[in-house]
Amino acid sequence: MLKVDQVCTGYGRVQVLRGASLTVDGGEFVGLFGPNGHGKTTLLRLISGLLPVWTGTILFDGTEIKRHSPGPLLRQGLVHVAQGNTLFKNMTVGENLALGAFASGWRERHQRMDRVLSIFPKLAERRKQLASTLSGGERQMVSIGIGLMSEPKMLMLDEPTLGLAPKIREELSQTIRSLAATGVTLMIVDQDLEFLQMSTQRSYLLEGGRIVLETDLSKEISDTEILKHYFGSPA
Amino acid sequence: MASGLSIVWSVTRVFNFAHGSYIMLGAYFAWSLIDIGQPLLIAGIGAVVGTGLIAVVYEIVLIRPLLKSESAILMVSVTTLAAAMININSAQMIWGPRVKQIPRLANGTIEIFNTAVGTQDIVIAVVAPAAIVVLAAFLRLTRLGFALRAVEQNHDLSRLIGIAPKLAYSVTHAVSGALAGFAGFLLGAVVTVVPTMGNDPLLKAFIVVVLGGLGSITGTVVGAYAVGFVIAISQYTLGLYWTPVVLFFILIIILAFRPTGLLGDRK
Repeated sequence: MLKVDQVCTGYGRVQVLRGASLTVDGGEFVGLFGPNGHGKTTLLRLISGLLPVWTGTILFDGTEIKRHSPGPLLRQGLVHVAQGNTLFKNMTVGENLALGAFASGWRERHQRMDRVLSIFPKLAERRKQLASTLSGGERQMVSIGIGLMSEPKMLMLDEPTLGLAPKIREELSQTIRSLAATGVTLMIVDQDLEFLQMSTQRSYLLEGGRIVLETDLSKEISDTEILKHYFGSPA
Repeated sequence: MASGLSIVWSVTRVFNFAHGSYIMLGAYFAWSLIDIGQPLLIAGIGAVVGTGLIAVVYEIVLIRPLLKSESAILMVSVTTLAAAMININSAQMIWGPRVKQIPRLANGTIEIFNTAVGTQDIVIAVVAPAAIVVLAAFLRLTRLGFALRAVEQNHDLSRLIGIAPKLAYSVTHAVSGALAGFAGFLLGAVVTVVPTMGNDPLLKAFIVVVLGGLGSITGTVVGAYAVGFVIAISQYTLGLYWTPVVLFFILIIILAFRPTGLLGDRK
């Protein structure tokens, strides 16, 4: 489904990614973790067309992504749910979700919204409420819901647990696992290894702009190797 | 008029000082169409479409290249002021210095509570709020309206869901220009059509938009009525020349206590 091969990119002259490679197969739930400032969000922004590819290749569904804008990628079925509860705060939950179908499927937005609300029953009650009045967990659900409204083949979530209480985090993980039934492919970027372990099948560790480790996290959650990547070698 | 200025601010975060001259252009377009024998309806449509197109051209040629600049607000303000001067002087060259007048949509006066009110004034009092209702419906119910509101609220997320911000900017300026053109068409029957006829409405619209809260359409409507009442009362009691002083005094007092205007976004 997605094949990222030796990509480099950055902001202006500052290089962030230095030859990162990973693959995600159709229907798979894959995690991406690593220390702050090492390029996790940059990789997502690159894949979703917000940043240009300097070198390397990205193949999505067999087509190479070179310098697309997000619009055409979205119509191909690749959706990026951005970090930090970004919503249209002065619009209702329903309006936020409707906008998710802006690029593809505007006419079917009502039917799609019913489907998305069946995944997030909590949001159904809040359909007419302004997004700014929602709790952190609810906002995250709306963010994912916006992504699902375009009926994507692949969804990329950037730090969905940011600022969430542990209980809400567990609920969110359950909801994410329930997405498997929709057949969507998922990539989750998060700092929270426990959350990734609950929600994904395997994960990549991104450090210094490169993928340095692939793990299923189940055996290795306390692995010294991961700790070493986060905190450096023990003295 | 003020609502056009307000949506441009809320979507693109720049202030368009050429907006007043769009009113004047709308009035001249309407006058020219009537001059060659077209009916009022065609003149009105011509004013709306012509001014809308000019606004889009200005957006693409003058405003868009400056938006990436760090001091975009300042640069766009200065550039649009220059555009206003170009418009005013071009109008002077094209249509000459002689004053013109658009025929009224309705003639005569109607007596309301022992006061004679011009029928045209009543037409404006009915049509202007209707235009706002149409604008609100456009923003709330259409796909394009949704897109404009989305860009206004969250630029990055709008891009991620596939809205092209450039298109949204152009549409915003088109709508704003069209509203100004329509205002010019209505106003040209009440005041004389001269190249500087947009200056006074621009000043009032500026006060209305800032008072009501930048970017808030509801605030703009509330601001418009508030300013209208203040002007009426001040002109009756203090006279014409003191009215701007009173208006700005009230504006300063309100901004001192509510820096984002009456209904503006409190960020």
